[in-house]
Amino acid sequence: MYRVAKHTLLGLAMVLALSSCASEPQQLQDTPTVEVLRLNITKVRNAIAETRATIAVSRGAPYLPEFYVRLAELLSEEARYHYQLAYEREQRSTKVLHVPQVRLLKEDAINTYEIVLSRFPDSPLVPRVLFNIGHEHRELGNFDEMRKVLNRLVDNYPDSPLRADALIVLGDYHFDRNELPDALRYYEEIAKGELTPVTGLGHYKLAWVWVNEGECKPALDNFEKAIERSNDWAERMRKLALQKIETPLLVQAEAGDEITTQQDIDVRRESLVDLAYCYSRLRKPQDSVKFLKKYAYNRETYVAALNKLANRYRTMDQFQGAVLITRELLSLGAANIDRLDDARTLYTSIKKLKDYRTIGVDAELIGDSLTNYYSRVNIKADERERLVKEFEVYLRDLATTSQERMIKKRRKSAGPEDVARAYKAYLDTIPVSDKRPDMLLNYADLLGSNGQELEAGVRSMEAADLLEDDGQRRDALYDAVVYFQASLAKESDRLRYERVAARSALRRAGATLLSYKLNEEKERRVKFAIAQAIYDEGLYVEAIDKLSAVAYEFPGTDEADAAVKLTLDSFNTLNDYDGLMYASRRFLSAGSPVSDKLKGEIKRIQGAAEQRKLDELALAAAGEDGADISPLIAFAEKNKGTDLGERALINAFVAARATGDTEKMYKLADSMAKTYPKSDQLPGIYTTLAQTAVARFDYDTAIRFMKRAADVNPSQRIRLLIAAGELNEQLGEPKKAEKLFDEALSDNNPQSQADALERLSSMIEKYDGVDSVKRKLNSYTDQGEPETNSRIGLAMIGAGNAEEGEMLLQSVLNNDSASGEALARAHFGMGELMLNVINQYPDPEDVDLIEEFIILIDVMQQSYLNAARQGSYTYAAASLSRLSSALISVSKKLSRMKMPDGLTGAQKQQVKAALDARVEGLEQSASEALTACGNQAWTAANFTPPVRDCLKGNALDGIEVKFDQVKSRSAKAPKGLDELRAELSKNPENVDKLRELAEKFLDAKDPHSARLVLARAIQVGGGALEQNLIGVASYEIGDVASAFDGFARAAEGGLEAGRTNMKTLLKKEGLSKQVSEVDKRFQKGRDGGRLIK
Amino acid sequence: MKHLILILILTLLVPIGCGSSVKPIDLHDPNVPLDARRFVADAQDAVSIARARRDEAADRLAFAENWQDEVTTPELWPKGSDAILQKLKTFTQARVDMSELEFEQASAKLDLAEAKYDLSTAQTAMRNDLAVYDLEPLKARAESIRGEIETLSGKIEDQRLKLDKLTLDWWKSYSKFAGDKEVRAFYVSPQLFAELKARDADLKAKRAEKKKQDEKDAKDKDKKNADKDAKKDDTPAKKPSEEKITEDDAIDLDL
Repeated sequence: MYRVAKHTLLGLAMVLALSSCASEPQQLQDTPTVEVLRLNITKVRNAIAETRATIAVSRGAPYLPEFYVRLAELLSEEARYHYQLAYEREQRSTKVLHVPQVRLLKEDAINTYEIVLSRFPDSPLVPRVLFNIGHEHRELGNFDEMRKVLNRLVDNYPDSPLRADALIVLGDYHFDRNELPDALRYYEEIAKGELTPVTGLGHYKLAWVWVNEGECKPALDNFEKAIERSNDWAERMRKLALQKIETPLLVQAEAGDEITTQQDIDVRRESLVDLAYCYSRLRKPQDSVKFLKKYAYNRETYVAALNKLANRYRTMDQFQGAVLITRELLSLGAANIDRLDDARTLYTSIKKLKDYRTIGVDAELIGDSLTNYYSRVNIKADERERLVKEFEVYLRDLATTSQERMIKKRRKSAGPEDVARAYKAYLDTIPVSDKRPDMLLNYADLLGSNGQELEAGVRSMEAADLLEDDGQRRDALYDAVVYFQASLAKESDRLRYERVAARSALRRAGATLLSYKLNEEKERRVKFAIAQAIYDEGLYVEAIDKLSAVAYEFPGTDEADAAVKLTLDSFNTLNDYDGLMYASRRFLSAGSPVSDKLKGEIKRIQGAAEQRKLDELALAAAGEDGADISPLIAFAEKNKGTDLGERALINAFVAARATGDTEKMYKLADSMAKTYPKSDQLPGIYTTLAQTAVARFDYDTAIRFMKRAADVNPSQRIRLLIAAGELNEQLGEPKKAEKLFDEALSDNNPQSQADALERLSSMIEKYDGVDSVKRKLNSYTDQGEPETNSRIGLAMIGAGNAEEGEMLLQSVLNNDSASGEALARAHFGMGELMLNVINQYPDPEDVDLIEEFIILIDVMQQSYLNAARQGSYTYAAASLSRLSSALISVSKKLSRMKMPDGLTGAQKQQVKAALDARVEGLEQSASEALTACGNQAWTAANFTPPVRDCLKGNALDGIEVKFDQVKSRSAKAPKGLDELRAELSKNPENVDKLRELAEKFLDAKDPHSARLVLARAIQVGGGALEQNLIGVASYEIGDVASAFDGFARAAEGGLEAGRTNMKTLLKKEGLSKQVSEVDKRFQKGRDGGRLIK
Repeated sequence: MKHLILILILTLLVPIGCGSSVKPIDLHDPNVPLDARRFVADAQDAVSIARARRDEAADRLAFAENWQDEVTTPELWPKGSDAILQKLKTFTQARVDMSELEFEQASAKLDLAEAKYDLSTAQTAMRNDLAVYDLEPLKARAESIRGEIETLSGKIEDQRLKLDKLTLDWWKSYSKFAGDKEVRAFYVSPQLFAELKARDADLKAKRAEKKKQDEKDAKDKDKKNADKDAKKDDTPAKKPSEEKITEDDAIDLDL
């Protein structure tokens, strides 16, 4: 039950609550003004009552005057409220009202103020009281009383801050009654006084007095002062406020600092605005903007003043001023209908003044004023249309006139940039008009002449789209193409965007233009421009075809030449040297579209491309894979018979050499010789091949190439022939060598002949003997070559031609450049001559002759000894050997010598004893000489035939010195040595491989080649094994002396084979007795090494 | 069990049957000497370069084919161009053939780079005891590809000669043909041509429409003026009213 009741109650409460929520809430309404005033009246009445009550109980209090003043103010306030109430009641229809309460209250207030004056005359409130009384009287229309009381204030309270306000009121009184002198007097007093809040106002009022008096100068001065003094006061207040914040306790406010009365006007603003009239009459319009800017303290004041002055100038038709002012207004002013007037004024002023110097800015201002205005949402369409139509004319007129004046160079005309700006302003402001195409074209002209070709082109294209006449459209498109082309011609100071835009636009314009009928010149230019744009874009592959099309379509023209140049440049940029080469050839062939003057340049390009191509191939051939020179060879084949082909072959040869492909080198050399027999590279190639062959120990090939090189290289011919001859000699082919030396001798160069002669004479001496020397070389005695002459001299002596022989030998002895060998021979010859003389010497008839005979023997001996001392391997031994036999012969002659007649017995004995001693001495010397000769074998490893004979005890008994007879080469170089040669090419100082090669030669019965290889091996560090092998090779050749030498060195090097071979050879040579010397002189060595059989 | 053995045997046989496959060497493996790693890295770079070149050759081939289609578009040639178009097709085809050969060569060079990479890797591995390979097949492969490249080089040179002749022949023919005919083929792409054509048609249509509208507006204006005049004429002459003029009649000039 309880539960039910509880629930019911709750439910009821909820219903009630909801129902109260459901009813409409009370709307709070704004209290009407009347109600507020009534309330205020009530409040002020209460305040009055309270004040009265307080006054009643404050008798004698020092603050009583204040209460009275307060009471009066309250009464005045109530009066004001009543007045406002009546005003509201009349619905603000008039300010002239009949409100009795006002009078009553105000009079009551005045009476109250009077109480203060009478009862508290010394109160500091008196000035305020007087001012208030004056104010009340004024409001009541009691002007005489007002003046009386205010004058009292002015006269009696000069320091009161309200004095100035009183003066204002008094001045206003007279001003309103048009009593200007009186008003002036009062206002001047303010102006002359201290700075007060109303000083500026005072000047302002004073200015207006002067305006009414028609005196603009003092009026203008006072307007300026009004602004200045107001600024001064504002500054003072600002400083005070700042001071109050920073140091509030130290602020000393002056009496005038308190704000006493409120001003309804902004003196600075009003002064600046109101001085317009006088300014326009007195001051220069050119200075107007500067002036106003100087005095305006904020933007709003400035714009207001500008407006006023603008209107003034409009009225006066003062265009100079109007232009400046309206410009300023259009820049700063709000976008309202006044701006349109300003724009019209600006337009008119420009037209009147004919001053277009800033036409760009002006047009923009006019255009902007229109745009800003008609963009407002409340502007109707027809009004918009009308304004657009109106302003279209203005802007077009300004732009076109300024352009015309610019072209004609009139005074005050604008520069092209400004005119362009004016056109832009037109185009931006008037997006649609019939005149737009023409304006666009004019604008494009301007831009083009001002260096802004891209923009000019874009505008031309825009114009083309709008033009209806096909001819005009075509011309506009053509202009666009020309502009874009000019734009692309500039390389520097271009943004990427500009280039991209220009190219794209040019292609479009060009493509569109080509749909029209164009004259040839234009068509050519347009097509070239399109192709050039592609090139400029870096699409070189595409550009090549387009440029070629231009060239072939318009052959012999400037465009064709330019197109060809760009085509070739495209190939070059792509590094397509094949393409460049072939294209160059095409452009040089018959029917080429280029002019003759360009062909020279193309030739150079072609040459450079070919060389570049060749360089590329050469580089590739020497690349990492090593010598795929087939492209080079193919290239050479393709360009057979040309310089290029020759260079290609040379490069292929160099590449083959770099990789050591000797086979290819030989083939290429043959190709070279066949195809370019007069090439100046052939000598070098052959020489290289010869060097390569020598390095590969392929001596036959080396000789072949040396000969070929000699055939094609006149300057090196002798040297090459001599080298080939020497090599032939080394290879045991003396006949071939002789032939080559003979060939070398056919050259007329004495120096070259000398070298050849020396070799030849040496060879003939060794291989053919003395007779052949005389026979073959006699004709060369006049050369004066000492090597040859020494041999010929000996030959002559041997042949019995002593006199001639002696002369030649003497010439050798007198020749400072004669070698040791030559001198040795010469001395040897001289010795022979002496021996001949000695042998033919008759028995001396007297002692003197015996002495002479002895001297001759000595001379002979000396000659042979001199010969031995010259360092000649062969003639050292030969001389000693010959000396030995000569001394024996001489000693025999001496011993058989008859005593000269006429000697006494004792003398005969003496002479005999002397002769016997001499003979013994000679025999001794002969033996010593023979021994010394034999000792050469062990002291100098000299086993030449004379030494060997000496060792056998056989002295040389004639003039002819024996040489080992070297066998001629009987075998050819063995095959299958390529791999070994290739290895040695890579590492020519590999001693083991050299030895291996030498052994192969030996096995193939080619000891001559083996010896050369072994000589190289020794040179690069070979040891006893190699020395022994040299000995073996020399032995097989028949060069016994060299064989002994080799074996001796091998034995010295510790190789047992050297010792063994030496012993074997000694036995073979019949020198078995010397075998023991080998054991004495050389220790037992290590095993290894080849033995001779 | 039998099954398992068979699998094992097959697993062993597979590497033998497949020929040498070279395991790449890790370029950051510190156990491999730096020089060796550089050697392998260089070979890798060569593969990348060859691949890039092959791609470039592919682009050039595509370009050549595209260009052939573009430039032989009949719409870009005037009437009576059949013969010249045929010549052009021959010329452009030679270009395409050239590009194809170059592409083949570039592909072969890529194969060669890969073969050399395998070889370098195998050699390096063997030098540094990382693996054992039979180098002969790798060398043989590289040699074989080199041979292919050499053959292609020869073909390319032959084709170049042929193309040169055709090029000269083509341009001479073109020069004669274009002397008195208007040819746009080389200056306008088919796409641009179509676009400009459409745009031109659109502009013409807009102009026609505008002209129609202007004519209509002019007619309407004339009609309006005519109506206005007619209306004026209809108004009968009235006598001046005798009513006084009141304040309501005053005109507010808003001076």
